[in-house]
Amino acid sequence: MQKLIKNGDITENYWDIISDEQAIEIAQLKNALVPLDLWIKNEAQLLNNGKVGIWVPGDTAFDSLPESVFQAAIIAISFPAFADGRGFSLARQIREHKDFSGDIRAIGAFVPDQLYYLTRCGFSSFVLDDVDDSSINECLNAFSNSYQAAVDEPRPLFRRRN
Amino acid sequence: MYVYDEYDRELIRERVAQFRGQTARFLAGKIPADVYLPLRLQNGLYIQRLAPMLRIAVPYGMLNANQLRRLAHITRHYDKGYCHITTRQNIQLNWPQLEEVPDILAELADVEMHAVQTSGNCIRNVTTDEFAGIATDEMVDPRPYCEIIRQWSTFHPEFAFLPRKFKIAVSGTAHDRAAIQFHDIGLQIVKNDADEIGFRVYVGGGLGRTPVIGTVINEFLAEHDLLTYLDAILRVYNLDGRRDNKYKARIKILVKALGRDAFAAKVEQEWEKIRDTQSLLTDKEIVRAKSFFTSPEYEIFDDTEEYAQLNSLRKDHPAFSQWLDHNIARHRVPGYRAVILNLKPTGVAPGDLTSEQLDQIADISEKFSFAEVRTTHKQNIVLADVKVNQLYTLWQELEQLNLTTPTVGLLSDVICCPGGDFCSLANAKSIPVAEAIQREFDQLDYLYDLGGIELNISGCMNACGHHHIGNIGILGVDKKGQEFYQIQLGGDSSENAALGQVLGPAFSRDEVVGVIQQICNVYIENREHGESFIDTYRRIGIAKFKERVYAKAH
Ligand code: SF4
Repeated sequence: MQKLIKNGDITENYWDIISDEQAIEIAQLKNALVPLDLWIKNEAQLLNNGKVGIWVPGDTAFDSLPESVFQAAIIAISFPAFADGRGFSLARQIREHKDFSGDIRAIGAFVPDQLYYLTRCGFSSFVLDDVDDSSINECLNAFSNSYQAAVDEPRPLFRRRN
Repeated sequence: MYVYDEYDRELIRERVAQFRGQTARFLAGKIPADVYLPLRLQNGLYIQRLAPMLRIAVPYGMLNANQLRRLAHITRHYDKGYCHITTRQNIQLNWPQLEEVPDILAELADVEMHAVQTSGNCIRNVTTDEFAGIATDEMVDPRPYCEIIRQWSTFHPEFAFLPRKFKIAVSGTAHDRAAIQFHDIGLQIVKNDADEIGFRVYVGGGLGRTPVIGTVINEFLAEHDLLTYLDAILRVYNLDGRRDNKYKARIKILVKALGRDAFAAKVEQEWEKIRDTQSLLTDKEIVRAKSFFTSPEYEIFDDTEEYAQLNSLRKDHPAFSQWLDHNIARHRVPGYRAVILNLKPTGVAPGDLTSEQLDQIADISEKFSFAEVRTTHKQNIVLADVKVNQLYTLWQELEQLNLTTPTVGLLSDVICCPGGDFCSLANAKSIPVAEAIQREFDQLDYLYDLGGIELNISGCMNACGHHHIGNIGILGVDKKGQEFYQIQLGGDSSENAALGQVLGPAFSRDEVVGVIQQICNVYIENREHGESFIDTYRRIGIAKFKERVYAKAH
């Protein structure tokens, strides 16, 4: 069973990821992350639905995202491979250029050892396959401070040093 | 040099703990090898042909005596008693044990050193002129900016999984000794009409498989905008750099594909959104960074007087006289010189240092040069602040250590990668080629007559030995399983940046020395009025060299 990591807690992941081809009943959708096209076509209804978020592939260009995306409660970014770092920049752009305050969720092929950097870039929840619970905390809190600004701390260390 | 405060210390300690945990989980089978790979690379750890290799960062080449002694201890205790200085001024250990690497990193952390981001697809250790702060032609000391960049890039959360590695270099002199046009980003410090400091920004330079000279995308980036602009360049690269083909993944390919203007426009567009954030540098931070690179307590001397004394020793000590002429660099302060310790005596792999030498260099640095040394991109060591009146005593001590070969900057001061003796990517060995050249060209008078020639050797097209930018470049190639060597001429790493041209078909190892000899002959026959090798080459072109070499060889 996949796990959802949020606010440092590890729980079962009960969110479905709807693929592009999947036939679904819009009205029935709940606890689901839907692809961009589906979202755009049914935006009003899905927004109403509440428990529906959107997911985009990690190589999505920020400028290609329509405004309605930023209305979603959750934007999930899917990593095609853990070494593909585009999702890190995309999350920052969503947070910093749009002041998006919803949940940004990492899904796909990222790994636990990236949790700290992901968090710094604005991700707030993570869906992982087999997690070794004992190392998650270690990964989330790898460092207690940082030199450069990011989403979690917009002031670089040089503005905080005494 | 930069001194850690409690923040730096804590971060480096946490990094060691993090890697210790990752290594333990890897060894326990809880992290797959493909996931552990980038984690270990970003801590400097490669798995090489014969053993792991650990690359230790030496920020802008600066080391103090304490650090040298710790390196001596590490090479002795965890390795085989020697280390290697790379062309990017870092230090490599060739024989560490994987299980012991976290301990080595902890030992390094004790003396404010690390191996962070010395490898992997991230922002690498920033480099600059090895004569920074003492050069007579320096406009602004580049090291404070290097340190600001080092901190910004260290554990940068957004840029740890770039399409490919990323190298930044800074030059504070018009005469570029940091090869900034061959880096992913090159920063030339400049001043505008109002005498304000800024940077001319080059992007997309690099060596390797596709060597490219960098392109200017900003003629004057104001000092305070440094980090936000770097963030913008890196973001554009992270998002748009190719990830489908590792040989096309460097930023140079992106810049070429988009064209300079389109690339610059993209950077500009991203930068507009982030330039007024808190990453804008403050005066306070620039002053703080500069405070670590102030002048030591120089004494006041009359340079002419001091030097005259030395000249009087020349007659009785010809070897000292030669050393004085070739292994010493000018210093901006009268009565001081920089001394280059030549790590290229024949029979020693270029850039290698033993544990004993590390300890002894530490002692010497304390006695003669404010307890600091610098590693150079030419794989030598510099004592930056030696009093002229101590040069003779210093020379005598260095003689004992085999560090005075008076050939700095000459043909036998070869830049050479570890090659097939150590590196698993190599097509051919490079160290034996360097040695064969040094054995053949061992007549000082002949070398002095040839004058300054940079000869660079790489064991494969990854170009760690910077063969494209050597006046003479030698590249190891594989021909049906046999080691062959391609020769290039005319490379130049300075502000007159040029890539070498291939002379023609490659040679066997036995032929290389003879070919170099013929190249030198063509130069000597054609030079005019003390012209240097590179100037002669530029004037007469490659054809004459080609004719001679291939007429006789085939
Ligand atoms: S140039 Fe090639 S052979 Fe030499 S060190 Fe680099 S990768 Fe290895």
